[in-house]
Amino acid sequence: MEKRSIIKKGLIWASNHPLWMIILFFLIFPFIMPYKALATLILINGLFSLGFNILYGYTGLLSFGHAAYFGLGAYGVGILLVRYQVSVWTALLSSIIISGLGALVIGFFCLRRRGIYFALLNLAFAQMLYFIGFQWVSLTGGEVGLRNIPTPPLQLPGFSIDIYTPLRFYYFTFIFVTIALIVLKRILDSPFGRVLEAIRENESRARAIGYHTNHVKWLSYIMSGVFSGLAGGLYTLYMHFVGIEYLYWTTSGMVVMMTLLGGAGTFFGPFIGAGVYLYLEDIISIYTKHWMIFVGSIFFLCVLMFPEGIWGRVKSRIDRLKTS
Amino acid sequence: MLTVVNFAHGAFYMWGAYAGLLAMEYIGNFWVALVIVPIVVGGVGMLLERFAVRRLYGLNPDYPLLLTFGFSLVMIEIVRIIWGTADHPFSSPPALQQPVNLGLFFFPSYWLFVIVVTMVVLVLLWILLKKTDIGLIIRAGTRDSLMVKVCGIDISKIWLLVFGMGTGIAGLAGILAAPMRGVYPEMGITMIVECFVVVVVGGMGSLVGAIYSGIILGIVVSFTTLIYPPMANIVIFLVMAVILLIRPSGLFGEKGLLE
Amino acid sequence: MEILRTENLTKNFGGLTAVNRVNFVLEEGRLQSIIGPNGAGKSTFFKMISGEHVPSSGKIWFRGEDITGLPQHEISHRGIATSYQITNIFPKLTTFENVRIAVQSRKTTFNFWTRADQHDDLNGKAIRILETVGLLEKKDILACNLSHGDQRHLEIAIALATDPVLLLLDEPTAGLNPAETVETMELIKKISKGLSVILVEHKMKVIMNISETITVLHDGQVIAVGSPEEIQENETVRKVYLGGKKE
Repeated sequence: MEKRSIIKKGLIWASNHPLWMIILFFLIFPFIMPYKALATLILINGLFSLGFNILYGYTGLLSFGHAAYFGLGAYGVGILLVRYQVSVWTALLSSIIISGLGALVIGFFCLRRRGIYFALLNLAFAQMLYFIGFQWVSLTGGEVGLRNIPTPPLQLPGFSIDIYTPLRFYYFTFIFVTIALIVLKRILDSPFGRVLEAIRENESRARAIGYHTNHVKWLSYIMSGVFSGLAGGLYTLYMHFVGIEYLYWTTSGMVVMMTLLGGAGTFFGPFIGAGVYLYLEDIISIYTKHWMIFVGSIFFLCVLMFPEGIWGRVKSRIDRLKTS
Repeated sequence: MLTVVNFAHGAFYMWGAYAGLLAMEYIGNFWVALVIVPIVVGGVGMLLERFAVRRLYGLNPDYPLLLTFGFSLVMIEIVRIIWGTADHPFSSPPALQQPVNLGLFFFPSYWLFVIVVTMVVLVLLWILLKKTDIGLIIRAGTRDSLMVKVCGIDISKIWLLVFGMGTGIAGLAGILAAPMRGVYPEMGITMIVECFVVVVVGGMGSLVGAIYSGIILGIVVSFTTLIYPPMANIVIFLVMAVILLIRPSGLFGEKGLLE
Repeated sequence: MEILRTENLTKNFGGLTAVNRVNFVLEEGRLQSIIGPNGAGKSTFFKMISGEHVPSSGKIWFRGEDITGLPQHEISHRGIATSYQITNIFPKLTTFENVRIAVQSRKTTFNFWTRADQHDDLNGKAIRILETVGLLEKKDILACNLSHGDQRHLEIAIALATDPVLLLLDEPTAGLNPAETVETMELIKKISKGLSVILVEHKMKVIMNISETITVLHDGQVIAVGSPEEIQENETVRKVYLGGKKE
């Protein structure tokens, strides 16, 4: 009895202070995972899902082409490091700008249609980038991708540091994820964030009460692209490699699955989804290379049984606890 | 009319091709396979509708798309387990291996056969939709399913049928395409994207538009292949972008039906 | 002074003419009703004024300016708000947020960095509007969990929250029982002070009780304009609208 009420209070506190909860948790995260690489992967993919979640979870726009922005960020960093020997900062910053610009252009076209058409238009344009990446061998390395990406030390005022040990890279990623989380939290709590939710709930009414919904959606799309691009850039730094499959539809599908598994439109959801997805992949792929059959089935059942996702489920329980 | 265009069609298309492969192995007769495969694939499609997709009607319209995505991942993986990831050749039936002389040039007879079959299917579909009672119900149902329910018609049976037909035709397309394009696990997704581009360019819900845009895109691709081959895969997306810019509803789309 | 004028306003859907050369004038501060059988084109007429449909031909003048074919959000900012016949709210947001987001539309869209719940001016105004429509106690309930009657009031509240000059009420009492209808009628009387209102209604009691002028639409065309008494006496109206029967 006693124990349950403590758990109950803890959960309520956690859901009221999602930002601090998640930052604290990620601070100790690498030490509770079986190995640190998995923690870093979860963080990066969680960031990717976070970007996707802005668009799907909060604005109600389902995209099946977010590989485009992850890939643009990843290739941005890769190409700049390999071909232009820039610093880590320049590479990451440029990758954000590149994916933002990509989202600006592609978003403009995709947002001319709604619903399923919007979702598949994204897929089509992402496939276009995939084919471009595939053909433009002199820039992207084509089918082989970019290998042996240099690992320049991170320049900080006064000194530079090698960030490529598992733990250091984890905390390097952690800093970016923390900043992204704080920024996202502020945006979601801002008047703009409320407009996003209003569009998700009822776009035509949002337009009727005077919001230029197309501009709002476009901006949300670009933000989503920027977060995804940052994730892609970090991923390249982490892997020292960019593969053509980053731009492939499987990557788009992965982020959709992670976000939905965790809970679209919730703050914790993307990270929980990324965690579950990667953990499953990690375990199952020991036994069979066909782990996708399990992940696909789980996703299938998830949509059928609890489309609100894992944290969405937990959250609605907590909300009920609060009122009781 | 197909408001439930989804990933399943890609998956069933792919399964159609593999089912064809299987049928050729055990039956060895292309013509028999051509009849059996669509029926079997359509049957599986109906099972999917009956036990999964149906539960999502009336909820978020994105859910069927997500569900069928998960489903097609599983289907792709099953195929990979059985046949591996490699491309499988699929030979066209011996009777159709000679090119035919069309006066001006020679044309592969199998392609001609595919065109004829496609025409027949289209005409049958058109008759079904426009001339029969079931067609009337389907057309009414896609506009206002509540009204049809009020009229005392069991619309769920109709959806089952429509879904079965849609997936069956996808299966038929799969086996027909197999000799031309080979058989590989991800052929479905490739096909979905291509078809989708055709639909966007032609205009949603417009059969004539789809045919014209298919022809236009085909010509554009052939020319690009001649001039600058690396662009061949990319150019259709550029055409799509231009169409979206100047005519968001597509070449033959009706403006009022956009949403 | 006239606030709204339409000139030969027409809307075709394919072969069907929903609204046919309608000339309509509303004086500032008045409450004018539009009646007519189902399919007479009342909702389409509204949707053209609010910018949801682009007219096939004809003009709309609002406060002396041509607003024909302007985008919907812009028309909203000029001061025209609609309360819809089919409840059109934000279902998974709270009652309060439904109104607050509408209030916010007058102030800011692209504000990313302040907390939405700390804009006291917006919050205060939303509270006042909820009080006016009698939903203050239910402000924290999700809109989808409200009763139908409350949702109809919320619908009006959202429209009111955008500070309209002209309010278009499309069957505000749709689906309400007699007691709720009376309540809504009183509400409309209360809020219409100082506003110009066009009301579409089916319930004759409501119309006769609160309208100053009535326009009768039939097959997309205006067949009569006049005071409630005049309309009741009008023979053409009786024929088409009441099917020739006397009440």
